[in-house]
Amino acid sequence: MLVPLSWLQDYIDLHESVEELRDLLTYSGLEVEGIETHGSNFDGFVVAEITDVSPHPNADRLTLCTVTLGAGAPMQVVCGAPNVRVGLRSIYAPVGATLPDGTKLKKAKIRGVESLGMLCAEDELGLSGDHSGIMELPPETKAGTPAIDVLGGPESVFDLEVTPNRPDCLSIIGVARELAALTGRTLRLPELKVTASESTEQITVEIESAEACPRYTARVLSGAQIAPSPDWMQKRLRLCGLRPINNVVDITNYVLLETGHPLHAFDRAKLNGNTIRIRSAEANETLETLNADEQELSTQDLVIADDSKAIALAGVMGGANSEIGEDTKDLLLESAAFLPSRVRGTAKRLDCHTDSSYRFARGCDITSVDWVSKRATSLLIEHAGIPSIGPLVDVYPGKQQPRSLSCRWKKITDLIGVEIPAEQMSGYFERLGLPILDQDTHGCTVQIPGFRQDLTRPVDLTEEIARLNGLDKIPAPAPSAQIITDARDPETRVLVKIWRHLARRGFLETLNYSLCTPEALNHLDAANRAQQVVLPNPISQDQSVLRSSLLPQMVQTLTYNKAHQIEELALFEEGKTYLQATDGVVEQTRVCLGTMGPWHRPELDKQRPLTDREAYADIKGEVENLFHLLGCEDGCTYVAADDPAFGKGQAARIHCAAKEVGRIGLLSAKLKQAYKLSGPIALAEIDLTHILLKPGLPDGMSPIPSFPSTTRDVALILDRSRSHQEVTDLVNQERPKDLVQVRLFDLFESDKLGENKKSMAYRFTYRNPKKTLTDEAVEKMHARIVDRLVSGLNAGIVGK
Amino acid sequence: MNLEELSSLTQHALSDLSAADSVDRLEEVRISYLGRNGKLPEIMAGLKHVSPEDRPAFGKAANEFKLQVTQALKDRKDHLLSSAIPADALDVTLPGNTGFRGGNHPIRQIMLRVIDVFDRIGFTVATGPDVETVFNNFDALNTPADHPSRDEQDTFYLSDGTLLRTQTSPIQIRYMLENPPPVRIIAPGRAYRRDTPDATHSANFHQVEGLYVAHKVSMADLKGDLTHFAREILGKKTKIRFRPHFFPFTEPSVEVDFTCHVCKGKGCRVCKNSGWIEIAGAGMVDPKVYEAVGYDPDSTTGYAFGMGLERIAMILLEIDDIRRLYENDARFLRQFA
Repeated sequence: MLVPLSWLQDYIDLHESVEELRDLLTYSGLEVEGIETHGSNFDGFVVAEITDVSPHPNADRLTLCTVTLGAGAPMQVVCGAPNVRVGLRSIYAPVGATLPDGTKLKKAKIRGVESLGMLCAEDELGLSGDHSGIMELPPETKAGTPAIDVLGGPESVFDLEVTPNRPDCLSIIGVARELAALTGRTLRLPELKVTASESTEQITVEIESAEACPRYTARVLSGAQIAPSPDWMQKRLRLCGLRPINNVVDITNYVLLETGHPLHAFDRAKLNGNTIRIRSAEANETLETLNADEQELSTQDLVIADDSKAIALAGVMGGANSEIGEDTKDLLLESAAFLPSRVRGTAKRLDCHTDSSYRFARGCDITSVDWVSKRATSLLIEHAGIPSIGPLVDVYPGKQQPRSLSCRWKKITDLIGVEIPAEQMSGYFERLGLPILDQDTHGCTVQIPGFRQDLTRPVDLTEEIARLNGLDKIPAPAPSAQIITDARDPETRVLVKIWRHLARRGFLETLNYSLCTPEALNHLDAANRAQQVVLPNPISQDQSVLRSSLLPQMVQTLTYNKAHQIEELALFEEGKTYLQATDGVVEQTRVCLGTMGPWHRPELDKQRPLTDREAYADIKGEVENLFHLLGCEDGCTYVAADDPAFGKGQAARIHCAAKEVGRIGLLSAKLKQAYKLSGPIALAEIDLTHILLKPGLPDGMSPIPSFPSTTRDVALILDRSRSHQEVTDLVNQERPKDLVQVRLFDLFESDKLGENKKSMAYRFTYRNPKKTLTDEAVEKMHARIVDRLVSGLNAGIVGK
Repeated sequence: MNLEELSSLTQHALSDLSAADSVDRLEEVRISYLGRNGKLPEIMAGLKHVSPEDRPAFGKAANEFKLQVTQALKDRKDHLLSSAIPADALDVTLPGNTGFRGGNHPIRQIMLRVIDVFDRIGFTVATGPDVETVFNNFDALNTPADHPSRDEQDTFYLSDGTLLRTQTSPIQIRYMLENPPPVRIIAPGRAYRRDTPDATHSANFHQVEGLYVAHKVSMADLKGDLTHFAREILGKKTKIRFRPHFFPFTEPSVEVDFTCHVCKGKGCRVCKNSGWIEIAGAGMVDPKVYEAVGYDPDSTTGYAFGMGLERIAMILLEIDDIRRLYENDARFLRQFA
């Protein structure tokens, strides 16, 4: 909402500086988003008259203008504007003058011809955005008049952000009223100069639905002379971003900006009959609106109609069939109130948003409909030469008793947290234009005026008091923490642990959008394709599906970094994934790890090629560390699996407490190629949903061993297809209670061991908590385990 | 051998010792004088040829010789050991094995700080799902039925009529529906709006929501608690100010500005010369919200606030484009690790 300071001053005395007003408005709730300055003092700029025009010898589009500035010799100016002609008065800027945008004019040769200064367009003068030609001044303007006398001095315009609860401030008077409340000064409303009705023409208004149109006024004004509106009005419209059209249209726009209440003027001669109907549009009805769009209407739209046709979209835009034109003589002036949701619906459906629909959609003051009409009538009589006006036809089926609202002083000050005397509070209400109907020591009742329909509850009055008293008066005491017991969020505590743990383990944390492209999901999480949650109204294909897995974006992130010459990376992301189930979307909290390059190697050992086994072992180790952190390492197993995202024989499912919780592996060669990656790309993804709630304090302490342990090593020769898990499973079947640890300490693959054989060397540690084990006892236990392994796995023993 | 010869031998031994430039050479010198076949045993063996009357003096001198050489040997050895650089010396300047350095995402770091600051003054973390009901996201938060934010143009709806929450505020609703007052929660999470991505907009972003509902909570409590927060994250002297605003779910509603952490309120590029930075939206919980969750609107008062984590991260870390935060460029992430 653009508000010129000089316009505000019509209604209230303002002595404050522009900056002071900015702060005053901002701290009362009308945030000043910007202050524009239009025009300047125009030092040196004068009115010039063009006395001769001749073509530029070297350029088709340029002309040589001879101008006179009243006194002194005529000067030659090169000009590119299409509207130059002999006798035209415009604004001349001499060499040495500074344009409002800061450009300093120099003597110039334009295409070989000397030009002394320039003739200015409105945009160059900072008056508007118009650059269609040089500014045209009325023919009676005297050449040589200083420009400031014609154009006025610099204008400050506030750009206000008006919150949706304050439609009354979508007007100059509304903002002035707010300033009056803030400063305690008087608001001056313009005087209405409506002459007595002379016309006898009878207009009838028929309202189909009082809900849709609670009030409609119409008045016929005869004998208008269509002409440009006065300069001061044009200037104000321009400052507010509107383009002047003619006196009648400009006056309706002017009153809209002034009062916040939209009006419309029809060409009376183009209306059939004497009845104005406010009705729902008929199915298949069409209307060509002023912006020359043929609109197909629906029964949801409210229209203004004459005897034969729709003539306007109520509250949105007029129809071309009743538009004010140069020949218009008689007007029908509408001032009305429409149901906000109806106007909003039509504006939205037809994508036709206007200054009018914007205000009606937020709610207008129904009680001021007649005043607004009279204000416009006054201006039309004064500036459109209206000699004769008809009676104001005012149909007001939605008239309601004025509302009142009660509040209690104590509740107000308790909520704000500041002591404010009661008389001060009632003073604030009066300044706001809320007459006090009743008052006692406990509280008061105020009347709610038509322009403050947002005030519906006592708490709304509290806000008014807080605002007027000043939010800066509210103290900021030190927090007094209220400790609420039994309010725990164990999950976040564990997540915080995970975020910090993985960062310390060397992983950089990434965050990706929850929305992603289906293509990547199909590549890396094909199994859940049927359960993807697809958005019906995405912004783009890139963000059209809720991610069912964190892996796709992890791989994309690795690709992005690889493309930026980063070869070595360990990343993690913790976030939600989304799967469609029959009874809604299931959200899982997952963590994903992704690595490339020798990130885990010591500094001087990075040149050696990274093997698949090493990359896998590094990431699996980190998964194990994570499970250790979460207290569930012991129950976790890794089961070789086929996974299209991973290479053959390079993938596993992770099970925790007999539940599948994730997957781990190396990215398949095909996907590595598709995602422009190379070398082993190790990935793991774990669903934490059921794991998060597990950990608490560790179980009680175990005794520290006080007897020595004994170790035995055995190197098994096994088929290459045998897994470590098979060995440990077999050991666990046998597991004597004095076997305290089994550790794989060497792995060796060579055909010297036999075709497709490998050797796995294990160290078994035996210890009894109560005594030192004898060699004999250890040997006995160990021999049974080795026998079991040999027979169970068809294994050989190195050295036997 | 006489005393003079012994004295000259001492001189030789001492000069040999000082000429020895390595521990190995020193050992050779030691062996040649003190070793089994060295000079000292030779002298001692010669003692029996010395006349008995000279013997005490000679024996004393021989002993002197032994002590002197032994001491010199030890000194020389100490000297050599302390100053010599052995061939297998470490290059102490070689890079250390730091391991790969990880770190938390800037948004996560801000989130952790926010949680930490509020945890200290008695707030509990609460969370909720991203996929929400219209009731929790709009109705219960007093959003008018035809409010533009409900439009399909602004909100992502799913085919079953649920939506991706447009704010973290529905967590308030969920929490209050399940817990009676008093409630003191801080709720971080993701939110979604159908904004076309640009330097300051992202369809998916993070918010953190605070809610304190009890009896007799006032705007002064809100200001005090947010001032504590402001000082914890931006420094001790930080001030805050309230500007009246409008939100459907709070009344009165305010926007909260913090003094600029760069210029301390004097005005600079970061705060666009105003001295203030807009950080949060806040207000006193609207009675309509209490009605929606079954609290007594007459006896319950409380405040709520919300802020965007991306915005805070961008301001604190001077990040120019919100998309940087989701690009996950390691060169960017590592700057904050």
